[in-house]
Amino acid sequence: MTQPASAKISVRNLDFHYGANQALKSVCIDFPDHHVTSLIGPSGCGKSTLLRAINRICDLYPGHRTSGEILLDGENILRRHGDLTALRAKVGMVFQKPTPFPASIYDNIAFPVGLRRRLRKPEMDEVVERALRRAALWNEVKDKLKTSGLSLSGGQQQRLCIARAIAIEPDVLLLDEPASALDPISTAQIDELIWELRTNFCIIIVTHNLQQAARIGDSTAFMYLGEMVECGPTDAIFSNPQEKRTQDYITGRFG
Amino acid sequence: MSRTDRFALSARRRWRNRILMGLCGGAAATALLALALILWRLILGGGAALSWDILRLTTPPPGSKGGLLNPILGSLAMSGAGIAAAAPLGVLAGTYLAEYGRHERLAHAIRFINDILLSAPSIIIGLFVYSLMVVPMGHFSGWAGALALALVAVPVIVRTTEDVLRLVPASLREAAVALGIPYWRFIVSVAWRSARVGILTGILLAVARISGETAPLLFTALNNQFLSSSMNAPTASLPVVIFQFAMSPYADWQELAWAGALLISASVLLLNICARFLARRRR
Ligand SMILES: Nc1ncnc2c1ncn2[C@@H]1O[C@H](COP(=O)(O)OP(=O)(O)O)[C@@H](O)[C@H]1O
Ligand SMILES: [Mg+2]
Repeated sequence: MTQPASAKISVRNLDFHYGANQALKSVCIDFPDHHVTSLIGPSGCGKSTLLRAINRICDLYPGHRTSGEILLDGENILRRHGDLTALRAKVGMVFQKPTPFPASIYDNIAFPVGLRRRLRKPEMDEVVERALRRAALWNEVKDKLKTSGLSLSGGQQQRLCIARAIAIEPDVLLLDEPASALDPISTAQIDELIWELRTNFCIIIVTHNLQQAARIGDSTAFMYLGEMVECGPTDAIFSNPQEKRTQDYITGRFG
Repeated sequence: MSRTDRFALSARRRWRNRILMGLCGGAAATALLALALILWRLILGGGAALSWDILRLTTPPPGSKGGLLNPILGSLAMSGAGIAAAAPLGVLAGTYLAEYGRHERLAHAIRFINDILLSAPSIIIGLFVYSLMVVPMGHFSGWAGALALALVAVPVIVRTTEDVLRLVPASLREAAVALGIPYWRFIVSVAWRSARVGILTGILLAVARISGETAPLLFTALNNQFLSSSMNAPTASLPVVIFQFAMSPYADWQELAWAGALLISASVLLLNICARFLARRRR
């Protein structure tokens, strides 16, 4: 992480307060493009808070304060006021619990796409198919695009949510424990998918599963009690951590 | 704790459980019995008077043949106009409370006032519309009745709309916002969509509520012996006609009152069953 010039996202001295409770303490980290960064750390250390600050989803709830900078392509998005929809379309997010809309599989993808681009039916069909193919879901759902997204299994729903997020062609993909509610087979499918997607996106994934972090992260960042303790190439973090707290966490001494 | 102690404890619990279950069951049975008695009495009193003439003829002078055509049409028109005004207003206000005003002081104030309106005696709403519309216009009218009914319906719809929209999971809201969907689009295409059955149920319940209201109509639409084609004139309604005819000393009027009461109860029951059916289908 020594070349901030190539960083897609640069977090600089980010402080984040929920009322009196400080969730992030002077966090600094760079997220390069075409690169998967795994965020690890015990519950409550601020991983979700960091993700939610990057696409300003935290603005849904009042009563928080930020200082510092989050530079996306050089622009400090914390200073952005007014309409945030363009920012959020550029920074997609997938949550722990699958969140398909109560609509058909097709409409789950076509609805957000249609809000950004006026497409005719055949073009939209193509967009939907491409998104589902990239999310490795096409073969399972191609014959039932008109059925409800809620009728799918948990793993399929999560891949539908990933398809929906990439269909609007964001630059950044934030994944907050996307596999923690899924069975091992679905988890493996999601891992494979993320591996494929890294060629096109800047991906940040929060995970509690250290094997998953080790498998898919080009880099790994360890957070503890709101601080960014250590980040670097995944091999280095797992085989030769510089900080004692990192060492303790990855060897399971706390967490 | 020894084995016998544990057994004694669980026996005591079983007894308590039985007593509470008996009390609950008894209360439910009493409520049901009251309802059954009312229905039974209505059918006994009104069943004989039900005939096609009820739907064909207008309210008669005492001693001659007649029906309930004018109050039926009047009730339909005033309830229809009232709901047509109250439904959009109530749904939008409920949406404001649930979606936009979640953290705002104004919303707390509105919710509080709405709850007061919800439990306000409806005769007060009648008096309010009387001074607002009937006095300045100089006469009773169907429009004033519709307005009074709308004012009864709005707080019901606001409340149910807010409640069902709050059941839409926060995760769905976050997912929509994270996709760059404008908030109003989320409300229209996702929140209303997933709550539509609940919202519709609330509207149906409001219809059921206002179709039996008498007090707000006494001071506004009053009554009309004849079929009137204009809502600008005083307008008959089933509840008011029942009130008038049931209090009269004439046997044939009393019989029509029974028939009207049966008609209203049956339609309210039907609406409630429809609402129930819709609510069940949601799951
Ligand atoms: N909406 C919120 N309001 C107040 N405090 C919060 C809120 N969300 C998270 N926190 C607090 O911020 C800290 C970090 O939480 P979070 O980012 O969710 O951690 P993680 O995702 O690493 O488990 C925790 O102490 C948590 O209690
Ligand atoms: Mg979290």
